[in-house]
Amino acid sequence: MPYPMISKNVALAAVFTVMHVVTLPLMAQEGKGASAAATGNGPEAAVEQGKAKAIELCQGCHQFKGADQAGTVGPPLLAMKARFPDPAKLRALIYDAQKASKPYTMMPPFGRNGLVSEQDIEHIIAFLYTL
Amino acid sequence: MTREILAVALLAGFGLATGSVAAGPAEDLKVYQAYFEQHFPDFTPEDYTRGMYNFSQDKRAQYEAIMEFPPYEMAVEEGQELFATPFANGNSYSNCFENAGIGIAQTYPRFDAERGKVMTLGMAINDCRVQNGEEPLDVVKGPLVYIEAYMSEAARGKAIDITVPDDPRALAAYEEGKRIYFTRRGPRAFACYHCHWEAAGARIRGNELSPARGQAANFPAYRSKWGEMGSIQRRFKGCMEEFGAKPLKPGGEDMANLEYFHRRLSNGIPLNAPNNRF
Repeated sequence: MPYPMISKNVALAAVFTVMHVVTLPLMAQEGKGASAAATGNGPEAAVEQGKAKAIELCQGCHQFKGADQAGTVGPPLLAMKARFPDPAKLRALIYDAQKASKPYTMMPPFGRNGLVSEQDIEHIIAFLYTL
Repeated sequence: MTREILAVALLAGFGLATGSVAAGPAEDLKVYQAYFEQHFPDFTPEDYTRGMYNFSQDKRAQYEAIMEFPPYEMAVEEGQELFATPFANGNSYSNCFENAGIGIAQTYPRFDAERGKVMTLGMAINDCRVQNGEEPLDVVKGPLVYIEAYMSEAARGKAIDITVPDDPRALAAYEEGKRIYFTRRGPRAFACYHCHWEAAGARIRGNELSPARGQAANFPAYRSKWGEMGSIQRRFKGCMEEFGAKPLKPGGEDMANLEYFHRRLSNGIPLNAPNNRF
């Protein structure tokens, strides 16, 4: 299912709501360091969960505030709201950068290859927008 | 050639590029060398053998301190002894290698016309054993790697010289190694190319990435992480595992072809093996 094709106009809040229902059992199964805040479903919880995922998956290559072992392979994650005002663009990049950016890119196709769930991507975007 | 054009040719349009351009191993090597010269214009041939230690003064200092008493010396001595010890039939390794094995390690892997396939140094050592009625050895660590270490020490400083003879089977093996090198693998979809060409010199987390050119001049190596010696195929396997890909089988034909292609990337670089890595 080509996730990046989802309408750009889908409101973020709506995505959160729907995806929580769909993927809650999966999240419970993973159960990695789930704190009280992180298991909530407000925007702050999304940011926290996104930050945890970003530290797990993004800092290998990207520098960003909160990363303590950041790599230098990819561009630093800064001013993300200004650089990517449309979340659909970020969503597509995280899902499959080979499609959304350059076919030879080193960035893993996180969504396509199941390294993150669609909900994880929304959380990561929520976190990136705080940078 | 810009990074973009090369990357597209090698990865995305790999089949097309090799099918439509009359490129061969000689032309490839020129393109590859130019790529690294462009990215590391100040590198001497010796610098290439220092891999990741070119990019961190701190790690370079630690490496040089360790090299004052290199951890591979026991392996070299043991390898020398093993090399000289006769098999049960009275023959020894010097019956299998020209010049008693001295000054030849830089020419492996070789394409063997008789067998019609690539022979790595490890395969040649095992082949010698089997021809003389002995059991083959593990190709990633242990005694076989000590023999490799000894033979490499006996060729240290000689420029890596991997040839692809004018034989369609040799060319096919080279092309297969090249295809493996540029193939994305595992869920992260990394090809060897990504980390060691495109991102060479950058850091993945806290680790500087060594340029592909020169890597093969340092193996076998004693790695602190292993606490012992290992062959280049051990490193290939570990690398693939580290990013979540299913590794190729050490000792197998794919690994041999990959080693053939990869070591040829270091042609002209002085052999600096055995070596030490963190």
